[in-house]
Amino acid sequence: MITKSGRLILLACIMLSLALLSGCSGAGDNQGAEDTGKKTAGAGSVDFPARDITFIVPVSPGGGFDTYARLLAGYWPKYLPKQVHVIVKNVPGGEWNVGIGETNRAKPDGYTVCIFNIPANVLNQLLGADYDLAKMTWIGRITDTVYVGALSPKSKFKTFEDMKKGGEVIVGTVGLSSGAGLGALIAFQEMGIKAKFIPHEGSSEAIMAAVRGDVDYVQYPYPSLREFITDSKQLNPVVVYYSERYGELTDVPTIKELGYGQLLDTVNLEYLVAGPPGIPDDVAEILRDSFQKAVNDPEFIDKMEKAGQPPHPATAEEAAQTIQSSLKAYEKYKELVLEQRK
Amino acid sequence: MLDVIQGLESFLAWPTPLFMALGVLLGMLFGFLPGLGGVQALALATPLTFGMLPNQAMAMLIGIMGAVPFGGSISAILINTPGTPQNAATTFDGYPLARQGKAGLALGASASASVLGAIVGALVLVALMPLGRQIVLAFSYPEYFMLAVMGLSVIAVVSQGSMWKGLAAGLFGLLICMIGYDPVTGAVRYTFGLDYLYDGIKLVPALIGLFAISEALELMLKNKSFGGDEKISSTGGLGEGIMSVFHNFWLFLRCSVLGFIVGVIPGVGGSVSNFVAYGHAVQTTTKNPHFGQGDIRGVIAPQSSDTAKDGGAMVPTIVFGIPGSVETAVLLGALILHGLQPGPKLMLEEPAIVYVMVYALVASNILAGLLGLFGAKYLARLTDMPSALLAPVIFSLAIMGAYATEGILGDVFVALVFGVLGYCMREFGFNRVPMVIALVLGAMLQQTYHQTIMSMGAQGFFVRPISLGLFAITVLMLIIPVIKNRRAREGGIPA
Repeated sequence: MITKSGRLILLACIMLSLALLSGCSGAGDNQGAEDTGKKTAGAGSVDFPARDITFIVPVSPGGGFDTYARLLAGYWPKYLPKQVHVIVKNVPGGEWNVGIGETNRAKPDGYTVCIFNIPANVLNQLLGADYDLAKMTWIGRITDTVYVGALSPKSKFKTFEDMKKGGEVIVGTVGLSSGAGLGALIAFQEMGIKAKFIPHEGSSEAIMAAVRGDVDYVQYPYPSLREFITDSKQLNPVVVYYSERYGELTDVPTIKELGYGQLLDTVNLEYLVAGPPGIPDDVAEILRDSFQKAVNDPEFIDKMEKAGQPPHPATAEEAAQTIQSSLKAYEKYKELVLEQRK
Repeated sequence: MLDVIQGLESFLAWPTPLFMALGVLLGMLFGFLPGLGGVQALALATPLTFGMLPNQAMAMLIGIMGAVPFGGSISAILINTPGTPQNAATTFDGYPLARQGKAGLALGASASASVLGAIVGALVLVALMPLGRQIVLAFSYPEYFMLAVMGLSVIAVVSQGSMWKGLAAGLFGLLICMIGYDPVTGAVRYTFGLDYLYDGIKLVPALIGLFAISEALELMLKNKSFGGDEKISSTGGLGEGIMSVFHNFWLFLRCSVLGFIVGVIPGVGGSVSNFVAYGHAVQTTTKNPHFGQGDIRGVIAPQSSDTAKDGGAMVPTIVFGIPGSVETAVLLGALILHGLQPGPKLMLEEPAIVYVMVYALVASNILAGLLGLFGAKYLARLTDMPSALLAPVIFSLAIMGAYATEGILGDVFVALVFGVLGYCMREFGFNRVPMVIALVLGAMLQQTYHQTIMSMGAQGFFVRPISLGLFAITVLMLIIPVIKNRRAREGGIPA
């Protein structure tokens, strides 16, 4: 009969080995594959892709980023030289940092790509993350989106003029380092409007708070607000962040008309895709090429429109350019965010 | 009315029921395996539905969603590991029943509570749909706060007899749930510089540790035999288990309604409803209560609320496109991918599909229950296994489950630490339930408090009818037992 202490030691050994085993089994995805990316004799002679590609989504399933990534993952294989699967892997946590971190550390062989939330991820980096967006291998942009600001019908403010005149505007956000929250913070700062920001669990909760009348104002990408503005009149749109009157929102003044056109540079949201730094050029070219074809696929466009977001894609060069300019532009807002956080 | 019939036709059109059945199998499996749950199953199945018609896709996805609570109860009852967080309360009495050789009784009760709870949820959903908007909008920050307070007061209810220990466990749970980044104040608490702790201690690994691993530890260290001394092939209890729901009909009904209400409130889901229902059962049972030692009502209450909550969660999902629970969040994504925009438009333009979803919710539970009952004979045999064999199996399942949640090794360590913690708590007579409740509700408590104060001031809690009502219920829940005790003592009757 083993003694009690003997059993305890045995137990500890089993626990440890099981823990280590389960850790090892999961990590083996990207290892053990042949080095297909090293051949440099021009596109066409490199054997890529030879297996499935992992598409990391650094948020939980079910939101806009997850939805568009999954849509894209459905059409991307069609345009790859070999029709492997593009498999979405949700890696939520640390406000995007965990997923981006995993991408950053993955082998740059083209078998790991990731979706990015710009400018929110730019701010993450400036506030001290251990990756550098400027070094990622940019593949392209799925779409950008147009921000709309809306007031609750129960609010005492009815237009932007009202808000500027005085009183404190209560704004519903998720957090000030989220893209939408940051946009609202910057906009109100520029316009000199006093605001109090109430944090919420997610954008749905913030929007619901405005519908209920608990907050005065929310500012979100149009697809998130559409059902409350266009399909029903539960929120009143007061500004659209675009250079001219947008789509169905013919009565809504643009930010340019309100005199703050410069905010167009900072209040935006782009859905970019990239792989880890250092992917060989020929593999990257295959990815970029197939990506552009996929985002221009008529069925993909149709599905995105049905999801409420007609795609407005861009190339890898444009994506890299966006990153560069965003990093510069947001440097000066770093202090603003840190101040609000206290 | 026509829509109801059209919905039924769409639902029964082959191969839609087949897809639902596939969903049920998937949901039961994922529900049963600790660490995996409805969310993972739904996320996995969504791309599979791409080629399907919207009706078929919804039938499959809801088939998954409906079967998960019952699937999770199987592991809760047989191996003291909640298959999903919403089955945590089922372990409190389900597992003791299994240990007494009455696994069949517990499984039968769980099956019928789940099926009937789903039916109640579906009926209330259809009945309340026109009022859905008002109901969802009536819940704001103060109401969420009072709900969290009410949930926390369940701690007092289940700690009767050892109030100080219960409070200690509960407060410790609050402490643990403070770990991580706080979005309200921007503070980063107790992370010790570790990235992993930035998001705090996650519920699933903690539950796995507290219940499954601590159980395996106990089995291994105490060398107890598992199924009690009577090795009954416990399926005899099945029929009795099924009927027990009818014997406790009013409790079942109240818990279903409770589950539905909690489901309607966006963002609050199964992990809250099962505790609230369990607490309610403890609070309102007068006839021979023996909760924690195999009281069948402790299985009926959480399970019926779990499935009813799915019906409730559909309200904000369909009416607003706002997820009522984690599972419905994924469901929403799938709806959008199929070109269906939830919200006011959906009810107007495609009402039939809403009814397809309702039918699928009920049918999936019926199918899951039937499958479970037929398999119960073999499942219950698990409890006949000697603990020397069972403990390592539980152990391995638990650790793999903790890892399977998100593929992070840190989760495994959390599970192990909580496993040791759970074992110690049992050794020293601390109830784990208060700690779990606090862990689940602490974050909501803090955030909603700040939200209320920031937007409405302290009066916000007391000038709104629902908030005030919840507060009053909570106070009553706490005071009534005290009054009862005092009266009984004065009358010379032992409490």
